[in-house]
Amino acid sequence: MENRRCLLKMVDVAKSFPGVKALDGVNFSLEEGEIHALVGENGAGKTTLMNVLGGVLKPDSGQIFIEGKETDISNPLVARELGIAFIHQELNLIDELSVMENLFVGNEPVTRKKTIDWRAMEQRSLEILEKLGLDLDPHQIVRRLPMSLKQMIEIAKALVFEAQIIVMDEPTSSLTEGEAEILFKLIKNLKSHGKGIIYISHRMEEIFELSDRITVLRNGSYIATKDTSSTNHDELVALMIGGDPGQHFHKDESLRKDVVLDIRNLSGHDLVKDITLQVRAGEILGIAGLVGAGRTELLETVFGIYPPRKGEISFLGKPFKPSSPRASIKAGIAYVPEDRVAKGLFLDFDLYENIALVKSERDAIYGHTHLPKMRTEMNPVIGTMGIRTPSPRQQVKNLSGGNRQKVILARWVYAGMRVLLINEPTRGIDVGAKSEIYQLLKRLNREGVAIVMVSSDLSEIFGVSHRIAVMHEGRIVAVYDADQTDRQQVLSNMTGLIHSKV
Amino acid sequence: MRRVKSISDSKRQLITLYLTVLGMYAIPALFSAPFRSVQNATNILNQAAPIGFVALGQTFPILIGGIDLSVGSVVSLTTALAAVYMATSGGIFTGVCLCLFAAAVVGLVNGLVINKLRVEPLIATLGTTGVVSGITLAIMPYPGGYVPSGFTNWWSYRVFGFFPLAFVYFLVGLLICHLILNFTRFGRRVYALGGDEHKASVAGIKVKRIKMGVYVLSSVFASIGGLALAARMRSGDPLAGNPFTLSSIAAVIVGGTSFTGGVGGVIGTAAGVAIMGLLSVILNIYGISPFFQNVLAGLIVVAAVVFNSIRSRSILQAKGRQ
Repeated sequence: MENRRCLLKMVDVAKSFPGVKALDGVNFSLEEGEIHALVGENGAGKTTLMNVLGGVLKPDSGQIFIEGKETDISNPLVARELGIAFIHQELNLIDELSVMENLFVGNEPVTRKKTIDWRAMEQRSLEILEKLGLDLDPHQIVRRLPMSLKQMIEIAKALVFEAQIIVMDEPTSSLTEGEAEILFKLIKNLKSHGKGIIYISHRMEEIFELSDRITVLRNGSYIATKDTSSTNHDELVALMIGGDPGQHFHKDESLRKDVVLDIRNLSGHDLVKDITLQVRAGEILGIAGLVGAGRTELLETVFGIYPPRKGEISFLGKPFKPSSPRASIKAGIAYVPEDRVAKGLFLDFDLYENIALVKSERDAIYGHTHLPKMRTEMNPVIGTMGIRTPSPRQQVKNLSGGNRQKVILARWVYAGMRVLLINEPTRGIDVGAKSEIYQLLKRLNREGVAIVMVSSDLSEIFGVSHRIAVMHEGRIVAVYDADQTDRQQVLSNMTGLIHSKV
Repeated sequence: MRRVKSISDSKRQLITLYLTVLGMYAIPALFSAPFRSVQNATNILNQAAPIGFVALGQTFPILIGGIDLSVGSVVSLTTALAAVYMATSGGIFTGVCLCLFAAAVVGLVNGLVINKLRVEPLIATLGTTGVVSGITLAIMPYPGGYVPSGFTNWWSYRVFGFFPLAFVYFLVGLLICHLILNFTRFGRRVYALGGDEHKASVAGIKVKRIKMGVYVLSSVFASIGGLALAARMRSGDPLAGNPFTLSSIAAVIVGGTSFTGGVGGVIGTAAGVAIMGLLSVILNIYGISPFFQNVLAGLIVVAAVVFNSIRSRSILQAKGRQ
């Protein structure tokens, strides 16, 4: 590179959390007028690194140089004063306010008399919008603007306080293709104004279209920095997943039996398009995909949370319409959501009450349930699930993440089920409890339960499932037998580079 | 051109509100001679002043997505303090200061409980209501006392023989609130906070400080409303403020400020006050019990909330379809 100004240099940055090395000797640099992509699998440390840059986390060691000066970024306000702007996946616009008020919120221009200088605000807004090539009325209320424009206003905010370094975290995740094109144009425009851009994305095609350099992280370690022009997709994916063979679980093929759940051309939610899938008793079908690929929406459609619009589902050989969660539960379909605490457990209730919930709701006779009898029935379930608790009367809020997950599973085991839809079964659960959860899933397989598992952790997908379905933008783009594919193939499908149908 | 189009939404709402006010005055005036008398107009304006001030103050907490249930008790406290201290301790000026100071303390306590103890505004201000009402009854168990004419004259004087000075004060208060909301950083941040508290704090706004200011303002304006009421009654009443809480909320909501925060303003609130006031006069003319006015205020608040939740639900569904 010619003698362009170096905006940012991070040297040997390390950060540990209890039990995990989140960052280990990471190097990163950014020059003016550069788009530098940061890639890696989930949990590779991208977000942690950016949180260090943003002053949200304090690094354990390492140095950060901003425009050549060593700097201590102690809090987010310091980061902002240093000209570092963050554009998060989740936008920080206030819907009720106008475009220009959003640009200047918290930083409103005032006249000498300390009153709001509306004229200056409008003038500067127009200048900034024009610089970005946005034909937008500064007085427009933000609420009704399309996602893409909101994203651009967020970027314009960065220009208000004259940021030199702009970090974008998955900026296209909620944009359509056309909208993304407009965003790319704007990013290139920023680049031509000399801004340095750190671009985080899972989408390979974007990275190759936009970036000048690419830095790869894996498991918190710095792997490599490549010039985009001198690398290719395959090399990058190989660097991202490394030689990591993944954990191996013993998968019992003999357990797989008849098709229990047969989904044909199911559409409904906008992220559930023409889905065809079969799930057999005694198997685990893993669903891989990026955030926003429609995995959760698919599970929740089958469970009756989102209404299906088109297509058929046959369950145990009979046509089945998932009209409500209640209907699905009655039929024998169970759902364990990703956010167990918010959507599943009653933290102030004890184990008995949490486990009895589904069964007592479903089987009550004229609203009457026999609790003492149910308690004695539940004791063996609590035992076989291996829930570690001083007493079944313990409030669930006192249990660890792994044990909470087991309580949810116990609820469904106790109620009885034929199909288990499970979303991110081990997110936020420590390693020991993880393998116990896997054992439980296997045990359910043995009892003839068909399991559909959504996971963002590819090791988990490969380690546990018999078959792997890959979703991309609401469609199933590929279904593989787990032993006849590899991470590279699945990852390419996830990112939409390959559209091979099987 | 584009500019006109984009602001028209809130402007159209204000125009509708003021046309409603006009209609509610003009139509009964056509049919009823006593209604169109100057005396009646003076009465309406005079009665509007106390509730007007309280509603102006109430606009602030509702704009940030909160609420202040303690305004009624502050009104009662103010009338009691005014009636007890202005005559006995002699000073009108000290009396007024004492009232406003007491109200500021109540607002401060509201703000502290909400900020430090993280209690929902609804519960926090309900709690202070109990405390303030108790203190008021201790100061003045029964209606009575005496507000000196030196004070009441400042409110009851009629400009041009019919326009009550109390209402002029209200107009000044309205202007001040409008300027605060639209031309100060504090005011704009009130809107930002009402839009989304978390996002506002991410933008570097000191959320707690704004909240504190909002509850102090609301309380102080309630107290000014209490002074206006005391001047009109010429005495104190430890329970006189009770209906003001509900009516002020009703006026703010009718005036187009959203319970969810971030949308609305005091110009709308003034129209809300006028609509509620005219409604009660019309009910009076037709001989309907004044107690029914409370029923009406209650229904309006509930209806506004239901309307709001239907609307936000349809917004959510529209988002889901996107």
